This record gives sequence, C-alpha cells and structure tokens, in this order.
Amino acid sequence: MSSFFSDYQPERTVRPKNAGEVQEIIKKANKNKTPLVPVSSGTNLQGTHLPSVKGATAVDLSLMKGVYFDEGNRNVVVEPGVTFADLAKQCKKAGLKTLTAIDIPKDASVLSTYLEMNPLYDWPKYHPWEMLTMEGYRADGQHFATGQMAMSQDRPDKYSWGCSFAMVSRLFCQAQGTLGIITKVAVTLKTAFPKSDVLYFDCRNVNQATKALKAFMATEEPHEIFAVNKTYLAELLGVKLSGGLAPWTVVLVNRGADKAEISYKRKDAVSVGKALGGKVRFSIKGVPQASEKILAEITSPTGAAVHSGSRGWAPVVSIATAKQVEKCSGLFSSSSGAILLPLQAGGAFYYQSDLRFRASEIPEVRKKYIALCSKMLKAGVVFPRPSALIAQQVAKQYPDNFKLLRSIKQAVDPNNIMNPGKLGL
Amino acid sequence: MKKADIIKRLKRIVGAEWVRTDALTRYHFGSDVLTHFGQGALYPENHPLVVVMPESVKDIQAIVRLAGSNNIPLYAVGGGTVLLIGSIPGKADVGITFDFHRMQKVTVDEDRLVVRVQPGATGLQVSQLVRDMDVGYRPYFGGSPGTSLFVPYQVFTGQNKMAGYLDGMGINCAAGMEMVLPSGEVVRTGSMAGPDSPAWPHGPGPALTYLPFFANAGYGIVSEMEFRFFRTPQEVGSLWVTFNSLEEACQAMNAVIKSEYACGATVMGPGCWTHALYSSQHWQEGNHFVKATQDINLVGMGFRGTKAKVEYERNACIKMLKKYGGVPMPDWMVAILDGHEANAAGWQQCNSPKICGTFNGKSDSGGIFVSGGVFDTMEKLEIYMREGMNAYQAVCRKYKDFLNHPHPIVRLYASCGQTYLSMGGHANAAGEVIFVLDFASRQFLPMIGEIKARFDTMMKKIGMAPLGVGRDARTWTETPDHFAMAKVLKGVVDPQGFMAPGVSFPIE
Amino acid sequence: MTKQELLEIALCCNRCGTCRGVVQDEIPDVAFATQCPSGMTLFGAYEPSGLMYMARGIAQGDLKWSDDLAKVLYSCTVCGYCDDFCQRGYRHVPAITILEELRSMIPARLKPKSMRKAADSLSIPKNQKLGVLKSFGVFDVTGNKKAHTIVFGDNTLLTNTPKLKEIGFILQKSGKKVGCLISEPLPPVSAALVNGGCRKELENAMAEIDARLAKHGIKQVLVYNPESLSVLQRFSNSTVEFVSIISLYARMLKTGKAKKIKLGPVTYQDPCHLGRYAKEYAAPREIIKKLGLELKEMWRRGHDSLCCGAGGGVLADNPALAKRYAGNRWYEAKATGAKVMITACPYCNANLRQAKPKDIRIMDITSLVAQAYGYSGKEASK
Repeated sequence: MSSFFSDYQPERTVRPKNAGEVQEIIKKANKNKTPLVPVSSGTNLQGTHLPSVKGATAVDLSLMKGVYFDEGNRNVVVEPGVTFADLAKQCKKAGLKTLTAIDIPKDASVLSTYLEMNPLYDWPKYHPWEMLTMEGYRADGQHFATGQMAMSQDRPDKYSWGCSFAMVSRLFCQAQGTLGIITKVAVTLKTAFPKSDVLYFDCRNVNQATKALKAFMATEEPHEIFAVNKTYLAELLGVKLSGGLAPWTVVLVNRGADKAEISYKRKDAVSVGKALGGKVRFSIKGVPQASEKILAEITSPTGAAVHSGSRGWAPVVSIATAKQVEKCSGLFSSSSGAILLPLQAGGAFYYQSDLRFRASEIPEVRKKYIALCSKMLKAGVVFPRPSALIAQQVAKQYPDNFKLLRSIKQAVDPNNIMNPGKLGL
Repeated sequence: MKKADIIKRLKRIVGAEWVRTDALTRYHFGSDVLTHFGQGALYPENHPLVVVMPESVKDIQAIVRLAGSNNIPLYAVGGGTVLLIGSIPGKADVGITFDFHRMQKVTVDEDRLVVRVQPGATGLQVSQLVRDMDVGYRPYFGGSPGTSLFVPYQVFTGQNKMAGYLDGMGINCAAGMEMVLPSGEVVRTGSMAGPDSPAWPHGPGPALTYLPFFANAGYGIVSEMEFRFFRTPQEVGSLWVTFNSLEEACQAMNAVIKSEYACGATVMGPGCWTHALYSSQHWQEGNHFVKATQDINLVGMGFRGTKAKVEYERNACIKMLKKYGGVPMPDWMVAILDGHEANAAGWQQCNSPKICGTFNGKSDSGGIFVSGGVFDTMEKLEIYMREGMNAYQAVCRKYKDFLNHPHPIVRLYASCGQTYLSMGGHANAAGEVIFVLDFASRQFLPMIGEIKARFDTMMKKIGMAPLGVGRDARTWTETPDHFAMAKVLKGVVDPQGFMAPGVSFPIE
Repeated sequence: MTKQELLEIALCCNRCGTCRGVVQDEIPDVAFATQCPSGMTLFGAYEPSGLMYMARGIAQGDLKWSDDLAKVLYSCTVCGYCDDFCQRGYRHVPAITILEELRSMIPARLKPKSMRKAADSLSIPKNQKLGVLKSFGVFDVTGNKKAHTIVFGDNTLLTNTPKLKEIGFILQKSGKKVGCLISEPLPPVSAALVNGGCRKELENAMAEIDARLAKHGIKQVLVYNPESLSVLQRFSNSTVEFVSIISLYARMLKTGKAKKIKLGPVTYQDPCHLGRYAKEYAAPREIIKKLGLELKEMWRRGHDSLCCGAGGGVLADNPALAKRYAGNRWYEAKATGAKVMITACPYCNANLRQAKPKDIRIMDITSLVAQAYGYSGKEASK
C-alpha cells in the first residue's frame, strides 16, 4: 500500500542499463527541468520511490545488475538492480551472508535498502556500517565517488576502504534520492554460521521488553535480537492471534560454529532471563515450527506482505529511547503490530509500529498518521528517514539541521530535479 | 583588520587573559613532533597569529563570526595537545587557533548509553567518570590519556586505532554533535539534534554527524559531541600466538577475522613492538619484549563477554591459529603485559607516549610515523609489511651512523625496523600498517626521505587509498572525485574558505 | 648543559598530555582530574609541554628570551608532578632538569625581582634567633665541637622565634641530644637558589655546608623547611643523612606519651618538596593518626598531590597568582568535609592561608605536635 504515502505516480519511466546512461538521464533532466525519482526495485516501506510531485520521471535502475563478489575479503560491489535474492546463491557457496532487512522483501535492491538505512536484522551485532564506498552521479550530473572508488587508479579491487575524509558517503544515506543517483556501492558480507538457536523471552509490556533487550544485548552474544508485540509475532509465525502469546516477546537468535557455542550462549541467555525475573523459552507453545519460520524470515524476508494481507499497512518508522517507546506505544491501537530493535548497544531502539486500514480509509488514516507522528516528534522521537507526509514537520523540528541540508541540496541540485518534495527539502 | 584590532575584539569576547599572542604560545601551537622531525619538509611549522580560549558555544560563535567577517583563517586544537599536524595552521602568522582547555565538560547518560564531551575533555576524564559506572567506550582510540581524545584532536584528524576489528573505527561510536558553522550558526545532529534525542547518529535525513570527521575544522568548529558507550563486559581475556613467517601469521589472522571471534586483533612483524607497548605498563617492559621477539611474528587479540564466551572464543582461536603453525604464548607472559585485557574491557589505553619513548626512554624522541595506510585485503597487507620491511632495512644499511648509533635500542631497530597491522574497520579485512623509525636527530632526515619515497612507490603499486590524516595531500590528489564532493560541501558551508585553510583543504 | 643536550632532552616530550592528568585508577572524580598548577589554571603554553617547547625553541634559536617567556617560566611552581608522572611508565621527560636549566639560562634582567635577589636568601640576618633553641637544651655546635645530630637553621626559622620555640620544645621532649650551628649558622640553602637559577651560589654554599658538617662529625641533619630539605638532599655530596624533622616527630609519637588533640576532621596537604622530592609521605600521616585526628584525604594526595601554588618562587614573585593556584587546592580540601587543613611546610601554610575559606582552619604539623606534648606557648627561655 505504498500509495498511502503519495498520491502521485511517475508520468514515465526510463530504464538505464549502465552508469553512463544514468548520467545522460540526469543531464537531460537538468536541461528540461524534469523531476527524477530513482527506483531500484519496487518496494520501500515509506514510499520513497513514489514521486511527491507531478510530471516526474521514474529512473528504474533494476536493469543494472552488476556484481563484483570478493569472497576473500568478504565484500561485494553491487549495482542498484541487484537484490538480496540475487546474492543468496553466491553467499551460500562462500559460507557468507548479506545482512537482511526487517520488512523489506528478499527481492528488494541491496543498494537502496542499505542506502536508505532500512533496519537490518543484524544491526545490534554489526551496527549500521554495512556500506563501504559508493559511486554515482550528483543531481547536477557530476560524477562522484568515495574512498577507494574515487581513486584514479584503474583496478577492480579498489572499493573497500572508505577514505573517511569528510565522510562524504554518509551524506547520501537516507537522502531518499534527493542528492543524486548512486550506481554502485560496496557492502560487507558476514559469516553464515552453521548452527542457529532461537530463544524467546516473554514480557508483560513494552517497558519490560526494552529492559530485557538491553540486558540480553550486554552479553553481545545474539546475532539477531528484537522484540515484537503479539500481533507482529503472530504475523511473523503465520498463526492466528491467540491467547498463547505474551504481549511482547524478545526473540534472540544465537549463531555458532558448533553445538558447544550454541550451548554456552543458551546457558548465558537463560541466566540473563533469570536475572530479569523471567524465563527464557526454547520454543513457542502451539507453534512447533516457530524457530524455523523466524530463521527463514531473517534469511529471506517476506516483506510488508506478512502484515498487510488484504488490508493496508503503514509503518511508522522511528528511533526512540526506552522512555520514548513507552510514552508512544499508547498512541497506537492494540491491534497494531510493533517491532523493537536495540541499537547502539541498547542506548536507542529502532521502533516501528503500524497503522492498519482499508483503502477507502486512506485520507482519514493519513490525518491520523500525521497527528500521531506529530505527537511522537514532540516526545523527542527521531524519524530517521521521514516519509513525504511528515517531511515538512520533521524539517521544522530541526531547523538548523535542515537549513544546512537545504544548502547542500541547492549546491548539488540547483534545478531541484532529484526527488523534489522529499525530506522537506 | 589590523592585528591589534583582532586581538582587542577577541579580548572583548573571551576576556583578556584568554587571548594569547606571545611568542611561546604561537610556537607551541604552531609546531609539533612531526614539524620538527623528518617530515618537516611536508609539514612546515606555521604559527598562528593568536590563540584564543573560548568558554562556551557562544564564545565560539562570536569568534567564528569575527573571523568570517574579516576573512581570518581559523584553526582548532582540542585540549592543547598536538600529535598529528591536523591543528598546525596551514597558513603562517595570520590565523586564530582555538584552544578548548576551558571547555572540558564531560557527562554520561547511562540510559542512552552515551558520553557527552566538550572539545577540551580528555580521555582520562572520561575514564575517571565512568570507572564505577559499569560502562566504557570502544573501540579504543590511540593516544594518551592526557590528550583531548574525543573532539578535534584524534577523531577529527582521523587518528584512531583500527585495532578494534570487531567494532570498526572509532568514529562508528559518534552519536551526535553540535557544531558552529562558518556562518556562526549552530547545527545539532543525531543524538544531539533535540534535547531528548535517542543515541542514533543518522538523520533525520542524510547523516551530518560525520561531517566534521577528518576535516580538521574545515567545515566548522565542534563545540560538543556525543559518543556511544557499551556495558563493561563480565570477563576479558587475551591470546598471543607466535608464527615463524609473516605469511602464516596473516593467513591465521584471516581465519580469525572470518570466525568473527575476538576483538582488537593485530598481526605484528618481528619485534612485535606495538603489542608489547600497548600492553606493557612501562617502556622497559615493552623494550624487553621487543628484544625477545626479534625472530617471530605475532598475532594478538583480546576477548570480552561472559565468562563462557571468553573461554569458548579463546579456545576456538587457539585451535584455529595452531592450524597455521601458531604457538600460543604461555599465560604468565601474557599476564605481565596485560594491557590488552584493559583495552578489551573498554578502558582507555595510553600507548602513544609509550610507543614513542620505548626505544630509549632517555633522550631520544623515538618513533616517527613513516608510512601507514589502510588496506582492503590481507594480501596487500602482507606484501606491504614484507616489502616495507625490506625497503626499510635496505635504506638503514646505507646509513652507517644509524646502524652504529650509540644507543643499543636504536641499533636494534636499525637492523630490523618495526611493523604492525591492526585488523580492523568495517571492511572486514582492512587494516592499518605503520612503519616507525626511531631516532631523534635531524641528521637522519635524508634517510627518512628515502624510506618515505620507497614506501610511496610501493603503496601506489599496491593500490591503497590515502588515510586522509592531517595535512595528507594525497587525499586531494589521489581520490579526486571524492575530494570534489567534499569541496562542494565546503563551498556550501564556507564559501570564503576561512575555516582551516591548508589543513584539510588545500589553499587554492 | 649545551644547547644540543637541552634540545635532546626537551624532545623527549612529544606532547602527549599525560602529565596534565592524574592517575585514573586513583582519582575517581572528574573535578579533580588535572594537576599542573599553572597548566590547569592558565592552560596552553603554561602546561608542562609549554616549558618543553620553550626549551626546544631556545635551544634551536626559534625563540628569543623575552618578558613573555619569563612570565611562563616563573608561573611554574616546580612542584615536580609532571616529571614524576612521566617517569611512571611513559618516556620520562626530565622536566625539572629542563626547567632548572632554563631558569639558569635566562638573562638576569628578565628574572622577576625576587628571583634576582635569590642569592640574598643565603645571608644570615644579624638578629637571627637560633639562640632560642638553647633554652630547650639544644647545644651550639661551634669551634671543633662534635655532634651526631643537628637541626638545620633554615631561612624560615632564623628569625621565627615562635616556631623555634615549638621545635625546641619538641626536641627537648624527644630526649634526643640535638645540636645546632647557632652562633655560626650554616648557609640557609633553600629552593630559592634553584628557582632563581643561582647555580654558582648554591654550589659554593653546599661545599661550605658539606665541609662544616664533616668538620663537626655530623651524621644526621633534621630539617624543618621542606624546601631546604630537598635542596640539601639533592645537592649535598656528603654522606650525611638529611631528614625531615617530622620523621623525628613520628618516632616520638610511637611511644604514646603525647596527648590526643581535639579537632574536627582534618585533611593533609603533601608539600611537594617533602613528598615528591624527599619521598616523605608516611610520617605526617602516622603523626595525624597518633594525634587521634580523623584524616579525610584529598583525592590528589601522596605522589599525586596537588601543589599549594607557592613553590618555584611564585608566592614571592606573584602572590596573586599563587593565591589563584591555592584556590584550586582549597576546592578539593573543602570537598573532603575536613575542618582543618594540616601542612608540613611554611610556604604551603602561608600560601594556602591567603586563599583560605572562612570555615576551615589551617595548622602547621609542628604546632600540633608541640601542643600534643603540652606546649602552651608560654614556655620561657631559661
């Protein structure tokens, strides 16, 4: 239901096959003052790929499928059309994995998922530094690259050191295509451990869930860890919501090279659970395949479809402190799904709750969404990549930040052709 | 604007006592170890016109506005310590240098797990503050406890030890910042964007938190910053394993990286001085260790976590490293040089003075950074270490005075050189190699020049991106498209180019 | 020292900044994290590294002597912390050696007035009062008289009758046979000579002291003023033992004949010349304990102690600056909750007194010990 976030559709679509064509398209758009919307694949949680203005041209990058897979150094350079599914086979063969995203399907673009910093299941362990260097075209058509990719030497393996000077690459993250089009990024690959163990910890409320997440995080043992409310968990497991699920459940996924590693991690988790005054469970009652389903979802996410069914689903994507999560959880209806992912060693949480609606309710629900976000903003919650519906509001909340961003935007996009209307720019 | 007027105006802003124009202050803030030794040709001594010590962000704003409206170059140094040129003015005798001694506030927010520091705060202060709090920071930064660890000094000049291979570079820990832009306006980002913002550095929108990193005040003056903290692990441990050849050590290290176990893992060539010094409590301890390891290559690492985790990972690594011919050092030896555990626990280490003073400890200024870089592959690292050592020794052999240096430790190093590499960064197999020459006298300057030239050729051959440290001109010349974008940003915030000209941005 | 030698030792400092701070394992409070009196008050080039850069600049000819340099040079209290701390595990920059070298090199015209007159500190006032000691049984060591132990007539005692009486009283109580060069006092050497760069004068005075100690067969010298004690210990070539007089107090109190003193909680200021220079940290603490006092230690104590701000000639040359330095110390003393600050150095006492907060007292340890043995101040000379 991406149309929840925008009423506009692109008027035309162009499909460049290589970086040279991308540059041509940008140059032409500058000449004709045509708005461009980069689209890597058809899915995004907040409608970034949909224009916020009339008359836009979608730049569909899905034909750009170039891959440079460097097994030895555990990196891969991808073009925008490469999906998680595309990399799965090569990764499996090499004993590696890509870091997959929550609620972003396996057929989503790796580049745009990482570029927009969609939450990854592995953030708690590896932190959000999944991208190394990048290359692309600024909105004014100029080529740019970061780190080794910018080196004048011509060699295939020049990609992985970020040459962190000025951290240029981070500026293009969460920019929703407003500053240019990225045609290539180097991303990291991680070890795929042969053994996995899924553990559960029941929580009475969201408060207990954030507390438990922090405590489990402190061991630095789980590879994936998140907390979900019962609606979200039921959808994830594909079961009907029943009384059997706790209001909130912390899901811990331990990975290991052998049984011994899994075993000590399990023991440690049990003792943390005990210290928290609860019990770590090894399965979910009445759902015999629960662990397999969770592992499969992490490896190969279903995407938004898992929640929407026949109805509309709009996530509210935010970053919050434990206190803010507690304060804001009451803003959502009890039937909303919600997921929490600890970040920064537990000092912050990725907090995503959602709204459910019928297509006819969109105008009304939009109002509700905006009002709700406004309350969350007031509570200090951060919308890291605000949707077009609340972009102006967010920009107002951080005037100094956005003033600087606006001047940067103006410098690289004097004709305002790149995804205008996004980000409150 | 006349010099006298600038000084008068500055005095009005911060008070007469905090504006310094005397010759010693200008010398003190216009030179450092590297401007004296070896690299004097690359990094000439440049004195500021005046050094000013602001007390608040308001003071900084007023000074920036004064400088902007009169086109006076501005430079910055954290707590008054200079080790890597970033704060030495690019233009001589015309600029204002900030010294942040009067801004040393440090506070910890245990709930958001961040430490908020002003630019003059030192690592030591942070360590003191958190000692009983069960939290600490990582990955560990290089440098000494007295240095202004967090803000312009190290993080912004890019000096951070990549030894935290599991944690990536130090800047990964930045959570938010407050910066005075060249316009005099203040921008707050990430965890500091709002009064209660969560500890998240990215957004809203493109992450501006990283803008000042490695820029040496080129984009603005950071007046406060937040860094993320971690819970202190229940247990820490370490492991040192020796190898006959560098190749075996590198292969073994690669296996450790792939296992994703351990933290702070490093490979060291013969002499193993980095490890010895990071981990020793006194330079003499380190010195003995260096002498004792002249014919071995070393892989060293730390472990942290629960008791079971430390035990499991340690055993797993021993098994893995043995496959490549590694021989673990006995526990008692590791116990003597226990700094690695302290690092793994998340405490401040204090290696720089030890490293530089180790070889002599009496009258020799010691280590000079000759060549270093970050590599993306193990193969490149190995080539660099091996060939680098050869180049180093070949040049040393030509200089008889150096080979026959009166001090035995200098003679030792003349014969073997030193290398280390820290596995690290977000790039899985990236690392850092630093070759260090050890002598203080200017008579060896030509020798350093020769070694540097050999290294530069080798690095080009290997295909290595510049570090982007201090006034490393290669940042501008070897990655032109990266730099072009940095220049666009510079044009946005500082069209006049009065912020740190000649440091992170060349003087046009 | 040649300029090349000075340069080489000055270059030992790579400006790591370690010396600015305290040992993190020992001092938990960030408020007391820094140490160098001038560095923590005036910052920048007033930190130890500023002095090292001064040496480097002077040695290489990059800097010329000027009033500005003198200002920095004489703002240092020569407390010795930077030297001491650097030695503990870093490279060891011999900061004190460098500082003293600079103070001996600086042209006389740039020296502060008090420093130019430093050599005068050797002159013995005509009305010197060492004779007071005789009434307490201290014998005059004259002619060819031999003595095992003497008390040193330092420059803070020569005309200080009340203090001489207290010391005489305690020596009497000790039952120890102690002499003093009363009618022909020894040259009253002190740190003033080092601070003022009077090397020749110091050398001559020490030669005379050594010769005269030998002549009288003296084995032990008790010294009241720590600034004299450290100089005697450092520069004497004799085998005579120079000890702080308070080590005698500590020994005496072990017998338990003294009465307890009633005071609120006390704190103790380690004088730099007694502590870092003479390494006497234990005796004063033993005395405080034996006097029955509750000691509330400051965090920066022992070899991490913060200077009162008087040393290096700062008190004589720039009392206002010394007072500012003392303010730093009082801030910490107050934080302990102590009601009395005890010192064992007349300079610490004087300087801390000038910045003293109203609700806290300051007392000399000698006065307290005298009191404990029943000294009332009325004991007349016989």
